Amino acid sequence: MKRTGIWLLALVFVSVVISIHMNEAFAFSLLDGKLNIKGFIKNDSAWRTRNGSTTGPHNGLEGGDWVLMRNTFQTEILWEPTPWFSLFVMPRIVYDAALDLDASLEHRITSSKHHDVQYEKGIREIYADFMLKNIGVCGADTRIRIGKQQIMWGESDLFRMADIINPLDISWMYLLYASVSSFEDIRIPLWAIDVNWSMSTGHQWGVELVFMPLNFQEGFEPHRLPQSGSNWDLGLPQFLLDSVYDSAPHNDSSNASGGIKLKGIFGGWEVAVFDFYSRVQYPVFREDFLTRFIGHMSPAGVPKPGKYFSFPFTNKAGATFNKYDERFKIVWRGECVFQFDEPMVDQSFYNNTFTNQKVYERNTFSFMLGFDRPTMIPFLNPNRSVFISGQMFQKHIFNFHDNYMRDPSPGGTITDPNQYVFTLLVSTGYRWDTILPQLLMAYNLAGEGMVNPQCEFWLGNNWRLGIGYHMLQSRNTKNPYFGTFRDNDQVYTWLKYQFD
Amino acid sequence: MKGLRKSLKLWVSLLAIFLLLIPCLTIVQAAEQQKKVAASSDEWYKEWEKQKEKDPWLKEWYDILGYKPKPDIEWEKKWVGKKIDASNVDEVKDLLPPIAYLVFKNWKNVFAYVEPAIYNWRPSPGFIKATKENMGKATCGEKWPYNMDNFVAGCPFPIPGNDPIKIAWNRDRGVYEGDDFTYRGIRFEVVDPKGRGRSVDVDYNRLRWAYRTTMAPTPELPGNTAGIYRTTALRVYAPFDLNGLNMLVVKYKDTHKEEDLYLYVPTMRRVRRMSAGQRCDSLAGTDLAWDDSDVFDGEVRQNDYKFIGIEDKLVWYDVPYPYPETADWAGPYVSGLPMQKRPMIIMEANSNIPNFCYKKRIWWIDPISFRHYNATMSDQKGRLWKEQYIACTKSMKDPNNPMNNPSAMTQAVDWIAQHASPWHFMPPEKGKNNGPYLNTGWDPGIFTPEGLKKMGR
Repeated sequence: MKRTGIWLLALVFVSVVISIHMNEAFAFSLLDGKLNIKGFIKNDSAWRTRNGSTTGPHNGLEGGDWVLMRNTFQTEILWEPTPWFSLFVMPRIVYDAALDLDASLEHRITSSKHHDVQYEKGIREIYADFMLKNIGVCGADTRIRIGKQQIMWGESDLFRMADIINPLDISWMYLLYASVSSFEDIRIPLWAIDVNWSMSTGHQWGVELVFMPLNFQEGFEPHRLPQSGSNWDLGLPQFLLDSVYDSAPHNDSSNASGGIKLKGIFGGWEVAVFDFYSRVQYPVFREDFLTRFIGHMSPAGVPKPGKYFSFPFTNKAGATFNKYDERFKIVWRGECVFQFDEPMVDQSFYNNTFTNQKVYERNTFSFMLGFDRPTMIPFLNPNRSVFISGQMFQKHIFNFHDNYMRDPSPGGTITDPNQYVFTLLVSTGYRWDTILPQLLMAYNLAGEGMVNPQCEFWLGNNWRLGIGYHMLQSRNTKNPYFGTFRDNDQVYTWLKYQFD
Repeated sequence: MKGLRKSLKLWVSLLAIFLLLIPCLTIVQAAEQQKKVAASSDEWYKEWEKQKEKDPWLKEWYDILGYKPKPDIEWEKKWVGKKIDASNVDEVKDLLPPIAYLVFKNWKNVFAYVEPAIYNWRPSPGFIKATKENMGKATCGEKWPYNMDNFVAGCPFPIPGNDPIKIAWNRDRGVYEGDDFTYRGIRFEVVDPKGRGRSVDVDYNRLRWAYRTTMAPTPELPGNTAGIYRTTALRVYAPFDLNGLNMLVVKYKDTHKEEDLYLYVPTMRRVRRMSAGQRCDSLAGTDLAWDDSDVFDGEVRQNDYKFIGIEDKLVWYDVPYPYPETADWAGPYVSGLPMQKRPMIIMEANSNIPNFCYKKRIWWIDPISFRHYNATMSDQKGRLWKEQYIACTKSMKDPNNPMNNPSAMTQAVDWIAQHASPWHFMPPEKGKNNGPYLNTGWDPGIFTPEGLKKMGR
């Protein structure tokens, strides 16, 4: 194993041994309680239960392959010297030992990419909060957050609609390993200024302004995609994946993005409207792709990375709401987004004919309606409610011509101007919420879906143990969400030690 | 060698003296405590009158209530300073809540001390004034839904007599707990009889938007067009995976309007609106149901009531914070705290919600403060099921009323499951300011959904 890997695994081992011998969690609180350090050490592991399709990018992967052995050490440091100022820092170190454990997996990924797949280290988030009281005409409170952060808008779970600010790291498809509440671990924090002003009385009006100057980060940050040859390979060749990052726009103020959200409460309805102007977070083929591709090819005819993609700006305007219905004891929630000029790509990019290298701009409208209801089902759980949460997502692409257009997200496979996806989450708690089973299901009317049962066990305040299973189904590999991964069924586990 | 022998002799002598002193000190301490018990009723009342002369607001409050205490001097002479534990709990069985008696009898290391009953508590001058000014204005229906009308502020029915509806409204809207409070550094435990389980550390904050009496503006915050009665915000610090979880409960003046519940979930980085409609649902996996929050957090109309009587009972009336050295947190039950024998209003409050989890609930309510001190619940088969006790204390900081007694500790026991969910303050730590604080001047800003988000990461 590599030296860094050994060092990290040793750190995990020593930490585990120490914690076993300690009677209670070690807490770090310094500077008279104003500086608090918390964190965790976690192992996520996963094993395939099916062989990869012989015709897809997962050909060669077999049932029983240990495809994930991710070790994370994350701390959260909060310094609150005054009531109006605080500083938050979240460093994280990750080592995925899967490639070192499984030689067949190691050989599938280009050696120059091993480090990117296995290691992650750095400050994930760092920001300062300034709390100002009685600002403005109406004497409202304001929080100004400056730094590398995650900003979340919207009411949806599992699929994103108004959650449009931070891109995602889907390189290891963590989305499918965690409960719906864990986007926090895969959202890529960005440098931003977030001003949140709100009143406490009346309709509790609020205004949130977000500005990302893009002057402080390495460059535009798109979604982080899985490496070619990895367990979640999208089927894109490595040189194209490399091109995604080569194509990222320059780091200057002309690439700044920002948005505004207004909200209020009216008769029990909590309503917000927003607008966000930014680049799309997924790569879109450039219209001159073929010319560039040929020009970049090596003399031996080997494709090389280049600026083959663009990330055009679009404007997204939308609204969210939630309302508690006393009659049925249900929380209704919903959101919608109208995206102006969402790029659509000619199908010839995806069937390799390149006969019409056109990028079209189409308006799209997406909405989600959902409900949450804790329900007492005595025969299932006499003391604890069963939380039932359902959502329906729909997306409509205006003036979409399915005979030659493709939606480039996620991967050029959407040919239907109307997409319908349903999700259902059922969860509860046993033994005073120390055993937490959950069942998550998603279904796309195009004929694909996912079933994900899992259970987490709480052992005291510090230890967490979990196990789950992903079952992915799709009529064909061209379906947009799970088609490429329909053979990626997996058993996964996690073991976590946390300190506070 | 000689020197060593000399030293040893000295140490043995010191040790002997020390060991002899302990029982002597105990006897002296007990004697001191015994001295606190009045020699007779006449002497007790003389002392009490002196207290009222020193504190005219105390006199005012008791005059409004029309209440005259009747301390049981003879009983106190026998019991004050004594320890109640498994060996002698049968002698006070009728004074204890039924499940508390069983816990004292059967769980290991459960004990309490007896102290004299005090009658020097009163609410703030603002609360007393508001009660006096609005006396006789509030009315309530005798039949369901028992609506209360014309209530402005203070205690709506300071002389409720045997009317359980009025007592229920006093306990719902007429308890003085400050116009705001912060309970900082609370630890909720969810444990078995051996003390094994988990815990959650929180700050617990509340703000009254209406029926305010002590801190300007009174009686209501301006701009309260939503008709909010009070908001409660819970901020979780530990364990790690719950750190940053912030909960907001909004209760309205309109008692027919259900409360709103919001949760800031840090892993989702957003505020999630929740349903508080399942009143029998376990409260965050503890032995309490949603309905049991604050002993009873529902609306008056959710129960039917029956007055049983006023009886002397043993309760944790005034637990000091920092807790006394006798306090023992090792087990599932907070032991070693002082109890007082004093009169309690005993009444039934049985839910009229169909298929409710509890068949019967017996409440103990203090006739002076109308605070809830105990609730005993039976399941649908009539078996003793759960019990919840509140212990009160004088506030660490209340600029408007140094005599106030917000909660200092709660015991909650599920006798059928043999499990407990106590909460208590963590010890004072430098820089942490643990403890109860009243009337601190909370800004309403954090008691809103956006406020939860601003507090979160």
